[in-house]
Amino acid sequence: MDRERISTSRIEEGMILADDVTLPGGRVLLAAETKLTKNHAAQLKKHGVVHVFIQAGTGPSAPPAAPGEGNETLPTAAEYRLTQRLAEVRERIDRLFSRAGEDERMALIHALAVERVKRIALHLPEAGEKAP
Amino acid sequence: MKPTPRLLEKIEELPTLPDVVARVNQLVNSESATAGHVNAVISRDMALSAKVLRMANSSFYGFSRRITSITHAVVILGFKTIRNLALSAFVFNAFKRKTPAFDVRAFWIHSLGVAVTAAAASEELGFSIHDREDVFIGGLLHGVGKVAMSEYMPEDLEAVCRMMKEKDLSFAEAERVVHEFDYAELSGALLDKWSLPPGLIAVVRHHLDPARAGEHERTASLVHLSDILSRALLFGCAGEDRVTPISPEAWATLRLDRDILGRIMDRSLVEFERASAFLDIL
Repeated sequence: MDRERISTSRIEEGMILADDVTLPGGRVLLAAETKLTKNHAAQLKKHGVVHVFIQAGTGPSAPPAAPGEGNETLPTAAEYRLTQRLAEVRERIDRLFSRAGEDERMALIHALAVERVKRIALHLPEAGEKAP
Repeated sequence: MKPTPRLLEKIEELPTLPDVVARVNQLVNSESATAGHVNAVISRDMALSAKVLRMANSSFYGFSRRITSITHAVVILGFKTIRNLALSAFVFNAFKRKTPAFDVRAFWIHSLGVAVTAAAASEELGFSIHDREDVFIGGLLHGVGKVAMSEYMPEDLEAVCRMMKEKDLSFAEAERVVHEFDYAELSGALLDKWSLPPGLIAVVRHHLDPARAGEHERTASLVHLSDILSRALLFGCAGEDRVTPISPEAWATLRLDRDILGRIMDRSLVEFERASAFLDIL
């Protein structure tokens, strides 16, 4: 598949990543095939990512999808993987705390951990951060 | 509490500290040691020398100038960090057998998570700088008994894992049934065999029940909390898929609340990413 390099400031909604975007520490910030949103663009900027590779044809010059194709309502592969991952993570944490019973302290730690791990699993922007 | 005969017998079978690590440890505990003395010991071990330089030049510390001599590395990193590195490198490489029931690599990642969380928590909770270096190594070695078991007592470890599943027990509870001691006691006894500082031994030995750590209760409570948070944040795997509730005494000793816990977790998540290079250096 052809790839196009575009600057982070030119990202538009609906562009699809050709490659994983990896941070210097090795963490994958966004996986290949992610359908980009304004939130993603803000996140990339925050991490100092200057340009990304997108799948050719999904950029600004992309032809509009032919009517009746209907693909836009289906989740992309990346979105599907994230949903799966989130469910797995949630299950693992809930199981982890299943011994805690009615312990209020553990309920608090549980809730705080779920909030944070979810944020990481989905690479969502910090709470309160607005998309530009 | 005296170690059971069974525990003493097991400890006998576990390795002693290699000469170079033992000597670095002695120097760190001595009043009169200089960076030159530490350099003389470390330079004779090429593998350890390389690790010290890699550590000094890693992004973990982020010094702007390239460090090329061991003496310089000892001066900027400090004696304790060098001791901790020598000790961690030995332990990490001595105990790494993977068994079907226990993933050693995942356990080391969990241990690094405990170390990082303990260091982050010690800052949030206003521990002294002196304590902060100690809690990192306390966290990293809190479960050294578990990895020692995987290498030297694989049958015991298998039996514990089976018992844990069959009777729905925690790892430590299953151990007490299988061999009359738990991994915290085993870890403490091993560090004692290696002549490590009494404070570190007490923290590791009592991290499951910190109220029994005497004068080290606050530090033991910190490692106890960090063990739970490292599991909750899914740093690696502790060898069991459920967590035992936090000790109410530890909660009170550390004066925990929602804000502090949230800050400790946020900080640990950031630091953990930075520290993950640590295991590669070992």
